[in-house]
Parts: sequence; C-alpha cells; structure tokens
Amino acid sequence: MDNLKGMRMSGDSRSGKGKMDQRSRTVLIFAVLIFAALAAAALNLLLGNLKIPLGRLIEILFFRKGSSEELQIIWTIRFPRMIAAGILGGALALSGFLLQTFFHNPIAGPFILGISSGAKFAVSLILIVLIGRIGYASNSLLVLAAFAGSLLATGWIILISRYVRHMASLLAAGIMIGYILNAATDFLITFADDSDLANLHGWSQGSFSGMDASAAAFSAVIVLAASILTFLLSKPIGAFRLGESYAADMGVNVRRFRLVLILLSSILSACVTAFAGPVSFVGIAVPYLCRLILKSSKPILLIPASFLGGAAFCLISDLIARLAFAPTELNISTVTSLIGAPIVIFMIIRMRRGDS
Amino acid sequence: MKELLKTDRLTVGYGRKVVLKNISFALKKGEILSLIGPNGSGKSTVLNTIREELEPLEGTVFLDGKATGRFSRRELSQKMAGVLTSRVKTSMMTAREVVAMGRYPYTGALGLLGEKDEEAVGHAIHLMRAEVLADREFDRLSDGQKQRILIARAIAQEPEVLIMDEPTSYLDIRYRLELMDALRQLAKEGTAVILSIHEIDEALRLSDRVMCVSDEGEVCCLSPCGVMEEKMIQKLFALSDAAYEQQFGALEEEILRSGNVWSQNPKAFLSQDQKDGDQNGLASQPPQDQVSGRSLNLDHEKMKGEARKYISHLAMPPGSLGRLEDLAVQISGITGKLRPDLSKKRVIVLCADNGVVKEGVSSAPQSVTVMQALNMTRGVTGMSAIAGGFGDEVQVVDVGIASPYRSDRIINHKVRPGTADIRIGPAMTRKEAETALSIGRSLAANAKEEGVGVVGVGEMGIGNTTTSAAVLAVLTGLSPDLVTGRGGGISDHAFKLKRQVIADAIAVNQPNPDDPLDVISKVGGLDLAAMCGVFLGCAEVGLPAVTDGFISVTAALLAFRINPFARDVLIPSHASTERGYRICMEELGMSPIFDLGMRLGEGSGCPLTFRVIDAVSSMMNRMASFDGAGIDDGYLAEVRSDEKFQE
Repeated sequence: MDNLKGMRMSGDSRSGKGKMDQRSRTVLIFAVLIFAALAAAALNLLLGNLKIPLGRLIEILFFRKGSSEELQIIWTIRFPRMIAAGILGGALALSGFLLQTFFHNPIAGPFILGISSGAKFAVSLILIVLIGRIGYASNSLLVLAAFAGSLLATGWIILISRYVRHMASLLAAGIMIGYILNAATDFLITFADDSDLANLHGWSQGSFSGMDASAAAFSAVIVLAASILTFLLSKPIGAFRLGESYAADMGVNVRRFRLVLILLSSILSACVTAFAGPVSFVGIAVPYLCRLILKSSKPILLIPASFLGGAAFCLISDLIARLAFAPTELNISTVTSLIGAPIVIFMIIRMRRGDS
Repeated sequence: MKELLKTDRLTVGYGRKVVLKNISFALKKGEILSLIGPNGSGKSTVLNTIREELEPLEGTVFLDGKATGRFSRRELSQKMAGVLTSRVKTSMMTAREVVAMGRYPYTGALGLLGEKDEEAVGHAIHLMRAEVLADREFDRLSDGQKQRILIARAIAQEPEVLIMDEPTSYLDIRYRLELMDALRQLAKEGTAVILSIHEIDEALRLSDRVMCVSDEGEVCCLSPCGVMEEKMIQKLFALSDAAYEQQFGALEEEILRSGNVWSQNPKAFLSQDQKDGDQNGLASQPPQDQVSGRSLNLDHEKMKGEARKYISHLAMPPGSLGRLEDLAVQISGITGKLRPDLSKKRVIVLCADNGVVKEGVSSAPQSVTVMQALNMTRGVTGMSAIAGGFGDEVQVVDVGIASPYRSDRIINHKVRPGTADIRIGPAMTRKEAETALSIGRSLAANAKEEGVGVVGVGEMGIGNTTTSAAVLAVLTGLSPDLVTGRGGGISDHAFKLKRQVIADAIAVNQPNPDDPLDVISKVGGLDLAAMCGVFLGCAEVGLPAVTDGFISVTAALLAFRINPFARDVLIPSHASTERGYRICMEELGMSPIFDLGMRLGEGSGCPLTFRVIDAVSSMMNRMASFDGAGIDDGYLAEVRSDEKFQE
C-alpha cells in the first residue's frame, strides 16, 4: 500500500509534535495550577473590606503579630473561609471527575445522583417544618441535616445499584431520585412561610460565608481523607476508562468498585452541600477542562489536577463574590457559572480548531 | 499435553433463560478453537461465561485443573484475556495507553509501567502491526484500527488463554489474514486461543478444533475435517448443498457479468496512480492477446441480423439506400439496439503539443495549439463552428498542451506539457502513453454514461502530422516519403526536412512495430495516444466512433492493432487529402463516406458525418415497412430467400 505513505495522519499524533512534548506540558500545567491555587489563596487573605498588605499578612499568619482587629479578620473570618473555599472547591472537582469517569459522561456532575436534592430536602424539612416547633435552627443542625439528606440519597443509589447491570440505568435512577426528592421539597414549600422560603432560598444558592474554624477543619479532614483514598484508587479508575467489561477482564472487582466510587463521590459532594450548599458548575467544568488542557485522561494526573483546579477556581470565584459588589455578596454559584461557562465554551472552540 | 482449559457439562444463559446446554470440551496449550454458528446462537454467551463475566447456570469451567471460581481476580486476569464486542469509548487516551492497560494484572499499586511491561506492550503492538497507530488518539481510529488495538491489549496481558469474540469484524482482508498469522504465532508460543468467527473458511483453516453452536442450543466439537464430513455448515446455517462449496470453502455466487475485468470500469483509472497495472485489477493496457468489445458477443451479431431483417422490410428496393443501410446495421451491432437513441452527439477533441516542432517541421508556431483549443471552446474554429451550428456537443480535452492558459471549459487531463522531440529520443515514457490511453478510454466511458449516442474523435496539436506519419511509417513498414504529407502547409524545404526528421526519429528510437504502445510512446504523441484510447473505450462500451482526418485514422489504426475488434465501432467520415490518409484507410479496410477536399483536422469531418448518421436514424425510425406502406412485398420473396441475414 504505497499510497499510504503519502497520507498524512490527521493531527492527533501526540508523540513529541507541537510546541512542547507531553511531559514538559504536564509539568508546566501543574506548576501553573499550584501557583494559581496559592495565589488565589493569598489574595483571598489580602483583599477585602480591610486591605492587609503582604508583609503584615505574613506576620499575622506565622507570628500572630498584629492588631486585634487584623487578627480577628484573618483568623476567624478570612482564613477559615479561604480553607473552606479551596478544600470544598477541590472536593467538587474530584467528585465530578469520579462521576464523569464512572458514567463515561463528560457532563456528569457531583450532584447528578440526587445528592443536592437529598440535602435540600433535609434542610427544607428543618427550615420549614422543624423551625416552627423549635423556633430556630443552628448552623450545625443544618449541616447535619444536609449531610444526612445527601447520604440518604446515596443510600438509595447504592441499593439500586445491586439490581442494575448497566451504568446508564444507574444514572437514570439517580436522576429519578433527584426528581422525587425535589418533588418532596416542593411539596413542603407549598406550606411554607415567606420567611422560611427566603431562608431556604438563601441556603440553596450556596455560599462560603459564615464558615468558622471548626467547620473548615471538619470539612478539610473529610475531604482530604476522601481525596487521598481516591488517588490511591488511580489504577482501577484508569481501568474503568475502557468500560466495565474490560475492567473486569483486567481483574477489577467491578461490583465492589462501583460501590466505592459512589461512596467516595457522594461523601465529597455531601460535604460541600452540607457546609456550603450546592455550588454548581465547578464539578462539571473543572475536570473537563483539566482533561482538555492536559490532553490526557490518566487518573494519576487528573486527580491532583482537578483538585488543584477546583480549589483555585473556587477561591477566585469566592473572591469575586465577596468583592465585586461589596458590601453585597454575590452567591457563589452565580459567579462560578458566569465566569466558568464562557471559559469552557472558549476551550471547546479552541480545541476543535486545534484538531483537524 | 496437559489440559489448559476445560469445561464440564457447562450450561450457559442469563438468569433463568438457558441458551446452551451441556458444553464439554478441553483445550490444550497452543490449541486454537473456533466457535461458529448463526447470529444469536449463543457464542458470546459461552465466551463470557468462560471468562467469568457471566455465571454458569450449571457445570464448571476449569483452568489448569482448578475451578475458575477458586482463582483470585488477579490470577484469573493473568491467565485469561479477552477481546470483546462491547464498544469502547475513551477520551484523551492514545492507542498505546489502551494497549498498556493490558498490563494491569502485572503492575504495582499505582499502575506504573516497568521495563518488562513496556516490552510486552511493544511486542503486542508489533504483532498487530500497529506501530503506526500507537501514538494516535484511540477514539479517532477507525473501527478496524480500534479492533487491532484491543487485540493488542489482550496480547499484552500475556494470558495463557486468549478469548476473542468476533475479532475479525471490522477488519479488512489484509488485517484478517495478518490476525490469523498473529494467532498462529501466539499458538506456537503456547497460548491457547478461543475465538468466535463468521468467516468459516478462515475458521476451518486456522483452528485445531471447531465448536459448532446451533440455533437450537446444541453444541458439538469437531475437527475441521469433521465439520466438512458431517456437513455441519449446511446444518448450522440451513444452507442447501449447492450454495456452500465445500472444496473452496466459499459461497458460490452466480457470475453475472460478462466481459473481462478491465473493460468493466475504465473510468476508475483517471484518479489512480499508475503503478503496476495489474495490481489495480485493471490492466493499464489491454493484454495483446485478449479481445474486448461487444462484437464477440453473440447477442450483438444477432442484433446485426435483426437489423438487416428489419431494413429489408422497409418500403424500398432492397439495398437502395446503399451505405446508409450498412451504417444502420453496423450501429445496431455496436449499440446492441435495433433503434438506438443517437440524438446526443459529441466531438471529443484531444489537444497536445509535440516537441518535434523544434525541428522546424511545422508551418505554425506551437502557441497555435492552445489558441485554437481556446477558440474551440468558443465555437469559432472550423470544426466547432460547424458543430455548433448543428447543435453537436464539443468537448475539448487537454492531454498535453505545452503553453500555459486558463480556461474552465477545457477539460484538464494534462499528462505532461508537450512531448519530447522524437528526433533525439522518445516522445514520452511508456507509462505516460498508458496514462493518455486510459484517459481516452475514460472519456469514452463518460460519454456513454452521459447518454451520448455517437462520438467523433478529433485533435489539435501543432506538429501532429509529423508524429502521425512517423507512427504510420512504423506500423506499415513503408518509407517516410510515402506517408508524409505537408500537413498545415509547409514549404518544399520544410517538407524535405520533415521526411528526414521522421526517418531519423525511427532510426534513433527503433520502435517495435508489433507493440503499438511502444510506437506511440517513442514516435507518437499524447493526442494520438488519447485518441487511440477513445476508440478502444468506445469499443468497450459500445459507442459508435466517427473518425476524422489523417491523425484521427492513424489513432484508429493504432487502436485496431491493439484490439482488432475496435474496428467494428469505427465510422469513417471524409476523405482527407493528407498523403498518409489513404494508406491508413487501406490498412483499416475502410473507405470514407464523402470527399469534400478537406484537410483541416480538429474533427471537422465529424459533424458532417453526424448528419449522415441522423439520416440513418430517420431511416430506421420513420420509414414505413412494406406492410405499413400498404404494399404487398410478395414480389421480393425470391430476392430475400437468396440473401443471408446471419453471418
């Protein structure tokens, strides 16, 4: 077949062609991601109603030296919030990554299995029903409720997954559960006071404000544990890319693995929902973008990259939410979607043009 | 040898539904077992059960003497690897990464590849000849390429048993054969292979044993000979005896098409690279001893007889329309129709330049070729004006014009910008001549497809009376003095020079008179080659071809020498006053239809002949028979019985 010699393979060869080869590209991207996350974190600490210059910040952080006002602002307000935004942003991205891999669906998100619907249902139970009886609802109660609600939804999914052969069915089941829970929530809303509705609405928009040190610590522990576990599962996650049948052929215990994946992603999203409410967009877009930029779907790369990307993205979004129209705070989902969506569209177009 | 894989009264199915029962067989190291059977008979079910993806309903599968349930997953995946029918959709994974996944059972906790792993991956890719695909994105590959990569993946897993579900689907014949080779190689190295396959003959050739899976849920294992002896194929697929040819293992088909391969689709040639003519299945030049054209076809001899009979019943004294009747019979024979539709007529003009003009043999400068070609598209030259006036089509084709030009009405099939000077060497290479020939054949085929009823073949190319005379001299063996004419009109001095040039050209090139293509390529021209091709093409597709003047009939003579039956489609036109014309016509055994003292070329005689053909059509379509004219033709009975209506 001599005529094949003249044929150019269309531009999807990735062996050292193009501006830089795969390895340097990866290193560069990671460097950028780490830098972005750190920079965003720092900015979150530096900027705000009270601007604190970098020198003072270092003193405050590492030497606890400064005026009580500054110490208060940094330590009780900005630092926990910054940690939460970073950690929870990473959690969202990671959860999205897991679900996208699991369902072979590039637009699966962390709440696709009904997690946020479960949380919202539980929270609405508290805010609409319980609040009448008790009179108030503490923050920690809401957190607990949200957690419980998320895990309730997760529990149902796990139950169903025993009877389901194909992933597509599981996805459908998850969406259905979401519908059921949403309907239940709407049912409750029918009987709600306007003030209750305002509270519920406020909760469901998602926000990193009101994050205190214990909440930040708690979520950090859970998320980091789950993330490390996820990283250790890189190998079977990678095998899953070829589909369940081939993963089984290679020796993955598919039944068990399904369970673990669902649990991990649910814990991650539940954590976010509990502490910050449902934050949209990050879980869908960040893993997708990371895959495009890294030009690879290898889990050992994508897991840390998604986490860093999610953290950086959330930190930047929170900064904007806080400062754009100060003193009014925008809600975080608005910012993430408004900033994020155009970026994704841009990337899609650029990538399309890049490959012939 | 120890048994590697064994099943004991295995029953497979889904839930409560039994698909196949009582499967017992054993496979040794290095054995190849094929599963054949109709679609839906359960082959995939068996394979998936052996692979432990499905639970057996009854019975057990043993690997190395141990029930498969007793192995850990990792051990199992080191012993068995599969190629499945499930669709694999990846994103951002290279083919090499997919193959590397096969090393899963051997790599560490994070799945990083070591040296041995890389080696195994490389070996697997090499075995499947997929080096070229390795760094491409998997998802972008074709189905067949993906298949090969997935097979490589299974090979990289270094299993003791390779289980493959329809691995040859999507693969073209070359890769199927290579896969068979790779499997034989693996079997030699000790891997046992089980595969389900639809290509029965390949299954029988490849396997040590064949498992026949029937629609009714029955399974039996036989040797390939056993399969043939027991006529299993017929039983499994409910084929009648005649349909499956045991000996060659191929299903017989009726051979419908008559005619030989190269005459079937001459058009395909235009875009092909001219390598070894035979490789394309189409000979670039018809073999010298092979005949083509429909004259050999008895049906068309019969048509001629029918035509003669028809004409004899037309209301006129027998033979009174003279050559018109002969033409009618000839045309019926060519087209295979008693009254073909000849309303669409086309003059094809082949234009090319000749390097010999450097010798000063021509009165006109070389640029006239391109000028007249352009003028022809405007309908203002001799031929094109006459043709235009009559409403005939004119198709101007560039097969070798030297001067640059721009026109979207000249069809560009330029082989090279003009030939070389024949006085010092060959005009063109043999391959170029073959290309020009095939271009001509394609033009004929195109014309036929576009509904053209009759073509005329003309030319335009300064210096081509010189080349035609040279060709004629070689073909007839006559001296250049006898065949050379003055062409467009040259002085006595130039005329003498022309004869000398032709003599020199023949002496220098030594063309072989028995090889027309050699003659064309050495002392001919691209226009001659293409025109010859048109005549040959017309013979293939059954299109009447009107010749023109000296150059045209020289090309016709070349066609005749290549394929004697090409002469049957030739219809002469005017008597050219160019010297070589008469000699050429004598060689062809033809005589012109009319003599108007013309010697223009360009195909100018063709439109005039077309009108004669119109007359022939009218004769066949409009004239009444004796019955229709109300005349009792009994008086002709005696005359008719003497005549023969069949050859």
